[in-house]
Formats: sequence, C-alpha cells, structure tokens
Amino acid sequence: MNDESKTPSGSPNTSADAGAASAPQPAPGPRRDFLASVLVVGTAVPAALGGAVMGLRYVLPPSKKAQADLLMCRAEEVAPGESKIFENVLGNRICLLRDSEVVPPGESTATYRPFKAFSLRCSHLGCFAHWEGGVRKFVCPCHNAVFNEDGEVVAGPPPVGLTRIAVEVRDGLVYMRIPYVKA
Amino acid sequence: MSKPDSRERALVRFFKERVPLQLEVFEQLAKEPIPNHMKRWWYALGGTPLILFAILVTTGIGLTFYYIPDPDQAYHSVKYLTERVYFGWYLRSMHKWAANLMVIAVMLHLFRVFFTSAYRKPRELNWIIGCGLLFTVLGFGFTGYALVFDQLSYWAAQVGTGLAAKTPVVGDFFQRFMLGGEVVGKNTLSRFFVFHIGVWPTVLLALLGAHIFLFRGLGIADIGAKQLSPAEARDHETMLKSGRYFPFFPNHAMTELVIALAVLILLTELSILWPATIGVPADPVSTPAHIQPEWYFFFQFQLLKMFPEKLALGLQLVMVLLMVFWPFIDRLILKLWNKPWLSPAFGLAGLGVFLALTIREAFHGYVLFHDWFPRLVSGL
Repeated sequence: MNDESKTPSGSPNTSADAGAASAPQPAPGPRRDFLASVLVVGTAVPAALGGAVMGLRYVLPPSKKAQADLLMCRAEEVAPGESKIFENVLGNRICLLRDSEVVPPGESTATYRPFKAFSLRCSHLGCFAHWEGGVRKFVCPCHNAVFNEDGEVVAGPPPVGLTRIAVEVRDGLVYMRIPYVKA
Repeated sequence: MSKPDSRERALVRFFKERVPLQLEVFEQLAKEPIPNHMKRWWYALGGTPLILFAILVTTGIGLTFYYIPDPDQAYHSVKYLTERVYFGWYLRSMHKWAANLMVIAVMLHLFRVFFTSAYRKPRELNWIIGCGLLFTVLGFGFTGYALVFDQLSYWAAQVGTGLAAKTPVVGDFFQRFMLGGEVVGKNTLSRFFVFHIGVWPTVLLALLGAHIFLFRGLGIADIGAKQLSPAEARDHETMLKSGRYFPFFPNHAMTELVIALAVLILLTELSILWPATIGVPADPVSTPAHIQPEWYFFFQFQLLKMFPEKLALGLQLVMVLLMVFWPFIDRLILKLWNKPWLSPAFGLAGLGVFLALTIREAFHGYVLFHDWFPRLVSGL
C-alpha cells in the first residue's frame, strides 16, 4: 500500500530519464524503480505480443471454411411472414425468416425460395441484433444499427451486413449450411 | 552485478569498433534545448504529422498485402480486405482516418506557424518546404482515394484529372500523364498506385528531411524572446540552465509520446464508430447523382461551381503563389505600410474564405466524410 501511494507523486520524467546518462539527479528509490519497471514491462510486453499475434493473423489470408448441412426444423413450423430464432451450442443466434407466400413477379414457383437465414451477430462489434417483425428490419440495440430483410446495412455504423446463411428446404425440412467454427 | 555489466560492455565495444558512430554527437542532438513555449501542445503540432505519417506507412504496408491495382480486381480486393481479412476493416479505417487527420494536422501546424509569424527570416525557405509538404499530402489524398475504385472514387479521379486538363498549355499533357490514356482505366490505377506508395512517400521523406534539417539547424523560433546569436545558441549548457529552455530528450519526447497515444486512441475511436466502407463498384458508363471529392478539396470544388473554369483555376493559382511566397510578401507589406496586424488579418481572411467554401460544399450534397448520416436518418 505504502509503495503504491508513492508512485504517482514521482515526477513523470524520472523513469524516462533512467536510460540516459545525464546530469546527476535525485536517485529514485529502488522500490519505486521496481514498480515503474513492473508497470512498463507489464503493459509493454502484452501489448507487443498482442500486436504481433494480430499482425500475423492479418498477414495470413482467411482460409475457406468447411461447412455442414444441419437439419434445423420443419418448414411448417415457420408460418409465412414469420421468423424463428435458433441458438447453437456455442451461444450464437441464427434467425430464419419466411417470406409471405406471394411469389415475386418474374420468378417461377419452382425456383422461388421463401426462406432466408442470418446470423444475428452484428457485424459492428458483435452484439446480437433482433428481428423486428412489424417493420421487417433487424435492429442492433448497441449502436442503433439497422439491417433490412436481406441483411444489408440500412443505418448505423456496421461496415458490412449480417452474415447470410444458406438455407435449403428438402421434403418439407429446413437445412442450413453452417460454417465450421473453432470451439 | 559485475558480470552482466562487463558482458554489456563487451557487446557495446563490439559494435563501437565496427560501427563508426559518434555517440556524443547524437547525445548532443538529443539534448537540444527547446524554448519553454513548446510545452504547450499547440506549439508541438509539427510532430503530429510525423506520428500520423508513421501510422500511415505501417497501415499502408498492411493494405498493400491484399490490394490489387487492376480495374477488374481493385474493388474486390478492397472489399475482401474489409470484410474477410482478420482486422482488415480496422487497418483500412485507421489508414483512412489517419489520412484525414494528417490533412487537419498539417493545416493546424501551418496556421500556428502563420499566426505566430514563425516563417519570418531566416525561416522563409522552411515555410516554402512546408507548403510543399502540404501539397504532397494532398497528392497522397487524391491518389489514395481513387484506389478504392468504387463509384465515388472512380468519378473523383475522373473529375479531378478532368479539371487539371483545363489548365492552360500543360493541362492536356498532365491529364494524359496521370490517366495513361483518355479515361480512368488500367494505366490510371497503376500510376495512381505507384504515386501513392512510391513517388509521394519519396518526395515526402526528402522534403521532411529538409524541413527537419532546417528547423534543427536554425533552432526553434523563440517566441516572445530575443533571438540568440549563433554563438549563444551553440552553448546548450547555459541555455538549459537559464530556465527558459528544456532538453528535447526526454522532456519533449515525452510530450510527443503523449500526443502519439492520444492520436492512436482517437483514430481507434473514429475507426470503430465510422469505419471505412465501400460503395458499389466503379461503373465507367454511369455517373452517380452526387459526386464529391474528399473534404479537403471541397474548397476548390466550390470555386469551380461559383466561377467560370479559367477564373477558378486562376484564383487557385494566385492563392497557391500567395501562400508559398508569403514570407516575402509579408516583408513587403511591413516595409510598405508598417502595420503589423495586416499579415494576420490577411491570414484570417484567407482562413475564413477556406472554411466558408468548405462548409458550403459540405452541406450541398452529402454530409462531411461519409454517407452514414443520410443512411441513419432514412433508416429511423
């Protein structure tokens, strides 16, 4: 306790002066010296290591992730115009959207896919966005980000839209193509 | 304790015998006396561009790891970097914001030097070199903005070089030289890229070297005190003891370190809140409804909207010449009218015109820097 209360009273120059061979000055006490070096090493080393790791990860391009088709639910569980939230074992949330049953003009009923899915993890800083069924938009409460039904940014700071997840419906069952992640 | 000490000495001796450096000279340089007014941060603004330059070089090297200067791939490489690469968005946003802050920092430094008349004899040449540094920074901005190759940056390059073409006599050559053809295309991107990462950095380093050499050689302008004679200025010990000066290292180095930290925090905040985005890919056949250069060219953009082309270009040329040769014009003004307030008044008027035109342009089309504001409004 005693040592800690001493450190702030030292002039900010004393630790920086230590390396330079300069005119004689009041020698800082060994305890304060030790604390100063603990502070310097304790912040500089983790910062340098963290920076180095991040730099290395930046330099290596992201690898193409393998993925798996997962059976999520029956198609009839989500009524037209409705949505359903899935939570995986890692705590990530996926929102499955179903269009109202009107097939857009110029698209045949055979190729029309009414299902879409998005990871709700906001691309800005990783909060969970939620689906506002009334206005048909995703809203992230952290920094007021708004995404439209296609996951594109409508408002707020995110650099990119929500991550889209491929959906496949076979025999009335909904499958999602989920990328493998590190546990 | 004696053992590591002697080992250290041996290591020091190893290098001393092989590297013919005079450490005493460095020590002398590092302890250069700095007048006390430099303790105020606004006098230390000259170091900020240097800090930003270091950040820009570091992040810029990172960006070139993924950037491809080819019309077909440039946009996608930037998109990939921003959206897929680990912390790519952060690096790109830092680069973008550091570039914006660089222009601001250089301008603030310029205003400080101007309004404290620090450009007067014997520092006229250093003022001119400083102007060269400002123009180089603007050159960096112009070439860098075009590299993203989305609609806005494509048309900014097209319009920017189109304006240069209107310059009498050399304009047409200049446009062809920059574009490497009739329109923005393959050659343009290569040339802009080479200028951005090769030519401008070299020019900047050369000018910066001269700038630093001159101000270290002439000493920092001692505001509010009598100018020392060369003999007095060489006597560092007496200067430091007088109490009106403090040593560069460690005192001023500490100030710069604090500024560097503040700049890094500010850049990170800006990058998180307003990250660099990318629009739709460049489309040479359809001009977007709103085109606008970066904010530091708003002033010229407005001039061109307000006056006929030839007149606007002429005005710009006059302003540039006035600025570059101001130290000599200032002396002429003093000699003719002997009114010390005339120079600052002229500077204030110039600053006022610059700010007014910039703000006018800012509220004409999009909002400053980004299209986030209209998006925010339309989304709510």
